[in-house]
Amino acid sequence: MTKLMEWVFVLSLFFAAYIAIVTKQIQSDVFDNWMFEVKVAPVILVLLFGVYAASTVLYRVFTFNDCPEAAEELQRQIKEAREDLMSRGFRFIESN
Amino acid sequence: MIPEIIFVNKQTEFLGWKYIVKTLTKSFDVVRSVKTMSQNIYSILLPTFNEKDNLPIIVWLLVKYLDQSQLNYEIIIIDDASPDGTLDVAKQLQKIYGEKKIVLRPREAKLGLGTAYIHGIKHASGNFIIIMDADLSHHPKFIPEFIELQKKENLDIVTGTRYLGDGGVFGWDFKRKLVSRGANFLSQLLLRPNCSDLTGSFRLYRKDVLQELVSRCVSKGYVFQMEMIVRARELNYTIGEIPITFVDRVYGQSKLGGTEIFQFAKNLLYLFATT
Repeated sequence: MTKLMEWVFVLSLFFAAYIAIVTKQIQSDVFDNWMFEVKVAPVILVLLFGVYAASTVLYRVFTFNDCPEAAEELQRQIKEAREDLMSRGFRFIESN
Repeated sequence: MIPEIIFVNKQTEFLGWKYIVKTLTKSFDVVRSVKTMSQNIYSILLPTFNEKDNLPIIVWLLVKYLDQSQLNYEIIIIDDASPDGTLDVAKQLQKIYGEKKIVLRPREAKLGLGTAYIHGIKHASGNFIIIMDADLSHHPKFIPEFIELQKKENLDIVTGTRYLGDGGVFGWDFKRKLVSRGANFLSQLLLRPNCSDLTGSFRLYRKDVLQELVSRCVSKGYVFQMEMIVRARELNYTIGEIPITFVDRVYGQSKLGGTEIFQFAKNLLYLFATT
């Protein structure tokens, strides 16, 4: 089953249950008492997921490591490499 | 087939041979694993296009770290007819380090990443292949860590990740980080690939695994990396991850524009619908 089909499958199960409840195919006092909440549930779930997604992504953006030490180490090693290579007879092609 | 095995086991137990057979197989396994460990050869594929400034540095770093870890390796440089003289640089490096370590496999024109890997694999003598960018964004100091993890867990693929542990990126502004994290979140949600860095291109593969994956992949450019990992999940290959620091291009331009984002979205949906 492709990922798309997994999503379609789960969503159709959800909406089948949803429509059955809203159109009162399934009778229950619980659903009658909470009909409004049940009706807006999909919108609420989408909004909640949106909040979760936005906060997760933003949290990860702000905690993304900047690694300045890695850049410094690389700059040092570039210098070291150039000197070592030139001492072995390597000629760099200067640009610009 | 199963009854036969049971029969053999009963036989050996009955004769008291079970212990001897077991010990012999065990010691044979040990000998074999020690032998293969020392015989592993790592082929590093470096596809280049206009990397005359970066190539000597990356090769120097590779030699430094791989010699330090006493590994058998070869560096395969696949230059796509760079107009800036990258191939001349590669030839000079070959003179310094020798033809065993530096292998040149230039091509006539700019033919893309996927075919560069195929071209490289064809000429690789190693049983493991390491792919990385030649623009110094991937540091060779992580390669011994990749190899250690591969050996420890007997993995098919080890991939570098910018998103876990001490991993990270140098030289990205807020917008770039946001796009990266957002794209990563979306692809994790839709594809669930068992890998935190889908678009990373610093990886170690078993040679046959890479061959299989490349032959199955259809996308081009950097989304190719994403497809490789998704196909790996499909084929149940085992994947390990090592946190890496990614230093964005020191020389030259880094690219992320509207077309890259569009390409990414298109391929994400394609993989979502087909895998």
